[in-house]
Amino acid sequence: MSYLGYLIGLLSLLWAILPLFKKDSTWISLIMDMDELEDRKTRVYGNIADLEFDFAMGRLSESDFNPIRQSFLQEAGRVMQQLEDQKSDALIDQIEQDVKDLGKKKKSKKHKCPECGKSNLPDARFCMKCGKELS
Amino acid sequence: MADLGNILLFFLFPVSVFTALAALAAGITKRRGLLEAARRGAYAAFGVTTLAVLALEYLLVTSDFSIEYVASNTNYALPMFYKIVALWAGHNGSLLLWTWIVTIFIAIVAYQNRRKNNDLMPYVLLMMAVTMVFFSVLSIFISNPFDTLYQDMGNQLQEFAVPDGRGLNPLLQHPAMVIHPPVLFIGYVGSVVPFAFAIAALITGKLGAGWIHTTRRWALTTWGFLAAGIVLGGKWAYVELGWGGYWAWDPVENASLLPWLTATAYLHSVMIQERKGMLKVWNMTLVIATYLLSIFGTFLTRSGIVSSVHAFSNSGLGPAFSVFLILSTLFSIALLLYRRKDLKPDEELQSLVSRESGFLFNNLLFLLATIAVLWGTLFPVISEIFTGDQITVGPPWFNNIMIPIGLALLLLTGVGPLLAWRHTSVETLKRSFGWPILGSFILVLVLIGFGIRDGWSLGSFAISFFVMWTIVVEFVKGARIRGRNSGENFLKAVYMLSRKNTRRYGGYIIHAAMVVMFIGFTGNAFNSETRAEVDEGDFFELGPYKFTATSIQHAQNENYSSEYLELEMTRNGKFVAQLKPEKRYYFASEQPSTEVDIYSTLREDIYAVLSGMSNDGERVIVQVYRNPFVRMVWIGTFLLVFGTLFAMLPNLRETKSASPSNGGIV
Amino acid sequence: MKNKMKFVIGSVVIVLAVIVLAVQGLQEDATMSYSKSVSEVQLLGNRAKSLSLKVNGQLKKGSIIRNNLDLDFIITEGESELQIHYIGKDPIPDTFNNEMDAEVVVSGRLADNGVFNAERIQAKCASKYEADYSSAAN
Repeated sequence: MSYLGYLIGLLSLLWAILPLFKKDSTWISLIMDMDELEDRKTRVYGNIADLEFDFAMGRLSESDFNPIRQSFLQEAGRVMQQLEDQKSDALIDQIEQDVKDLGKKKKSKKHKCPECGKSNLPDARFCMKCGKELS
Repeated sequence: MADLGNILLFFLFPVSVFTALAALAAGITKRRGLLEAARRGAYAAFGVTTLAVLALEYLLVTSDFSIEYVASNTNYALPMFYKIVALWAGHNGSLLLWTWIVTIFIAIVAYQNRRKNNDLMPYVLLMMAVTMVFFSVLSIFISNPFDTLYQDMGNQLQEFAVPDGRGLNPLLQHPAMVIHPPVLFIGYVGSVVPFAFAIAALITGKLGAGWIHTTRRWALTTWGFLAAGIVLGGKWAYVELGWGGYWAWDPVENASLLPWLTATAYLHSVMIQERKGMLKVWNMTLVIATYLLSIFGTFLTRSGIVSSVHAFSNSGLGPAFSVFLILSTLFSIALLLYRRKDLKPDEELQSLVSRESGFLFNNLLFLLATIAVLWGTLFPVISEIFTGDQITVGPPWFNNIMIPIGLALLLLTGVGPLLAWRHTSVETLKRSFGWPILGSFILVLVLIGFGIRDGWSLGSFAISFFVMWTIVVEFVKGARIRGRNSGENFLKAVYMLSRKNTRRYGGYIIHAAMVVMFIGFTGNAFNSETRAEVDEGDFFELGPYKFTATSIQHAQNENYSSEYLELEMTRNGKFVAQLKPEKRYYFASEQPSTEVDIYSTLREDIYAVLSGMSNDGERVIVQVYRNPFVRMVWIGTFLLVFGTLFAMLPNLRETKSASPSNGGIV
Repeated sequence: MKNKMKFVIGSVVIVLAVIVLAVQGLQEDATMSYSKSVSEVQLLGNRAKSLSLKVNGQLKKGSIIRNNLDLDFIITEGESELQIHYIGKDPIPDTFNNEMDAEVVVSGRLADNGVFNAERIQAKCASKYEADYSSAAN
């Protein structure tokens, strides 16, 4: 009986350790600012929803409701604008990176067809000339 | 089987340590493989612990009395059901249950987040794994449930088995006791998840609302389980301990209340952070405090530092717990200080009469309640340090503080939700509160007319009425507005309205539940009791009721023998109920046990206890309590659990907007 | 800033109110009791009579005398003994009877005649329950 215990215990430990020996990669952290902006966006939206609800339930006078709503809408606009800016910045960065990678890959990786010797684009799956499947 | 269980449980230690190390390494290097390894460690910990629990269950069910735990907590004649639940009847077994729940939760968290929160997860797993390491050390090395019985044979120890076990403590042979510990433990352990995410956010500096969103359901579940666990403990004390009450400010009861108080404060204050970006440090503090108080509660129950009817014997865990508690506290405080600059509020408080200010006062009151209960619970320890005398403060001290705080909080329950964010004008206040306040005043006058003079009770009834009114108005008004726009009938509108914002309306349901419970608590002010020594045919009275002892009986089965009294309860000569208070004697444990009988209605409980025999054995001493509104406490709890579940439902999304103007919101 | 001040003032009032409640509660005699063992009570001498006490000791076997609704018994600690008279209303705990070895905590006051008037009796059973098996087995 106790052998079974050792067996199960060791196997489960081994199973947990296994991923350490696999080919590994790292993940990239999300950009801080983006998170913060997303937070602000949900917050403003939540605020507007609450404000309209409170108004409908008669907890706010019209004279309070309108200016507050306006200020929330403006804030929402600002946040959306910043988010867009961030996104396009991130997009530009991404494109720059891709272009760089493209250049690198072209140089480093000779994507030659093993059959006919024709050099292909880095992400091509089949040879342009003879149609042989590329690895 | 004991060997198997023991070895499997032993493997929890290396697996937990590995998980912690892999998680830490994953956090530093951001390598996927390490994170995957930590995740698998979590699953493996769950696997081995589950098998160990099954092994212990096997030993309990098959009555292997060579195991100390089995011999101490079960016997052959014990019904199968109680053999199974004896897993958490004793100290060692219930500690294993605690540990098991930790492993279940870490496995769930690992699985839920297998494709998201990559930045937080390493530290989340790290914090949970550290908790797991701590409890595995306790379970394996200090309080191992697989320990065998040893006999001293000259100069060597020899294993032996006893012919029959001691049986389960009769006090624990009750359905409420069966579900109380697991429910409470889930509540306690659940606090580790928001804690782990909060700490992970502090370590990584990702202090946005991400960790709050991820842990919202966890925090709510924990809170609901804690509440249900606390009340179940009270229910158990009420029906099993036979002193006619359900709460006595006992240290162990207090210990379970403490994390509930901070968790409640958190559930409210987190809404300010979501809407206003304020109170970031404070929310972190509450989450951390809830976790530490949960550990502290477990510590209090098991260390023997304060004496209590609920406590386990001094189990030698005190020092280990103290060290763990102190280290976790220092670590958390250091992290908070390190990140204090990043936790600045985004906005400032704008008006005293606003929703956010209502939440702030709510939090202040919860904080004070927590400090008061903690202070009172630890007063014997504190006073011994400073005066050398161990001084206990009794229930009157707690009531003196907690009744005003409780009523103030109840009042806020009614006021807070009706205040608008940012600012509420006096005009709208008058509109919202005019009628309910007038209604409460009339109620107070009526109650005074009925002869109720106790100020606190009048206040409590008035506030309860006021709060209930405002909550009902919330539903009715909301449904009317919705109905106008969508054309739905009233009931459909109520349903749709609540389903579209489950968090808000679940919250209202929970508030209503608290009102119902407070009515039950207030009933305590009107308790009455009587005691009589009776022979067959004798009678006595309590309030409008007349009790006649019809017969004194004896019965026996293989588990226990019993004496019981048949008591006929009449009102104005009309039969109301037959009560059967009983005294049992359990053979295996050689313990007597009092079984109370309760005639329960919405209005009041009639609670009969057979408290003993006269010296000559001819007559019996019977005690009858008349406790108004006790049932409200249990009903309120059901409502509270329902509200909690409701708040966890995802919001219903309508495919097309019910109305173009504001139908999407109301 | 003005609003912040208002909130701070409100909070201070609440905090002070709670502190007042806590301190006032402590001065009320009935809420505080001193935990002592039987021998410590005897060491206290006359001071013992002025305090509300929680005394713990071992129930002396066979010392329980019931007379109608009255209940008298003796608790011991080593050589010291204390005569207890139960004046409380609640039913006494299950573990409390002449056959059992029970550890008892009584709450009440010491009367002038040296008898302890107990308002509450707690018998420690659930906890003791588990402890003595291992000691028997050791």
